[in-house]
Amino acid sequence: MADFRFYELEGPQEGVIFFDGIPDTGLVGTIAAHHVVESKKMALSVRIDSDLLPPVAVVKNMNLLEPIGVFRSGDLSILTSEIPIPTEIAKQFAKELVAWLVGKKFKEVISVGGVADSNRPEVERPEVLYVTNSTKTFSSQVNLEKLKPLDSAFLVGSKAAFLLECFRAGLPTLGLFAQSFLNYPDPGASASILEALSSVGSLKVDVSDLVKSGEEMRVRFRDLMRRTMGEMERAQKSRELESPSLVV
Amino acid sequence: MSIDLSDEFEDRFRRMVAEARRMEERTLRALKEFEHAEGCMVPLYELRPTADGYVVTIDLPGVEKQEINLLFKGDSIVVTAPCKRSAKAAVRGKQLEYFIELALPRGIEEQSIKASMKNGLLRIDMKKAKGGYEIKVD
Repeated sequence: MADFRFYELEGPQEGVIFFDGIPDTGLVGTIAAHHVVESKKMALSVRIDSDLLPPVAVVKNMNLLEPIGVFRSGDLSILTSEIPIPTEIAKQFAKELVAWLVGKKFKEVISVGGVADSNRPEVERPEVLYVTNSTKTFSSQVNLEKLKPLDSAFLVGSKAAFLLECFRAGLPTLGLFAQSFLNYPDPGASASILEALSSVGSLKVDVSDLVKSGEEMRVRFRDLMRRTMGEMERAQKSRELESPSLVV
Repeated sequence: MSIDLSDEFEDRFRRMVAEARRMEERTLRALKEFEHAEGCMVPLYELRPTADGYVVTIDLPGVEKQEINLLFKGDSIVVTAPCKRSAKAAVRGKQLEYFIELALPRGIEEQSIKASMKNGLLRIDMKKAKGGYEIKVD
């Protein structure tokens, strides 16, 4: 029996791009997801809940909402979360989310995150790395030649679990990772990724707003960052600083 | 009678994880209660060892370097700085300043401490006091 429930408020998702803003390193994906949702005034289309999640409800305008939801505008759906995915259920969540994406016939997945870099304070424009299972799908939408392929690395945490499931299911998937702070919300890294995605029509937003409101974002996402740090430690995030031993 | 060790192990593991989560929750609750009681925000920070000392970074969005009060107290450092309006609007309550007192590892050389600020990130470099004696390897 499935552990996660998807309450759909809006019509079919067939042919839609799925953008993942699961909290992770520097909250890079989360901040990018919030910025696009707010810029495009996207509407909540799917509410996600599970008995495995902590009992949290978000109060907004006299309404009670689950902390995880999917926002929709045209051919774009964005997953946002007000809580980090608990490490113990990260794989289960990834498995059921991807099964739902496949069942609903989403066109492709763009998953956004950060790679921690101790040199980040000195970097003005964070570099963006990518990993994909379908260069053919994404090279016509994103200028992959300007980005650096992620050739050999460990990815750890709920985003890693999600990407692994996407690849396993054969969903066309693009993972984008910007150089970022590990433990500080990093709107600059989110801006770098959104700039790299500006050629994807439905993801085109004014990034200068994000840069201008960067200080406010760093304060606004401070509490979520603290909680995400705990989950990242439990998921053995430090492995991302190690190199895989497999050479073939 | 046989005992299913895998079940027992799983049960113990679940209890350990639950206890670790309770401890983390108590720490986070204490921190938020402190912020609400004192009217301040405790910034995110990191303390990393280097070859000859430590580097501390503290996230102070919206703060200019001339606004920072940085005090070395031997076994800790205290940082206070005003919050900007944009930062105040982004959080609940009436936080007026950033405040953190950070316990330091022992043996810091006081004269070596240097601080710099870039894009709202305070960096404090400090060296370990020199000491010890060389041992000849035979």
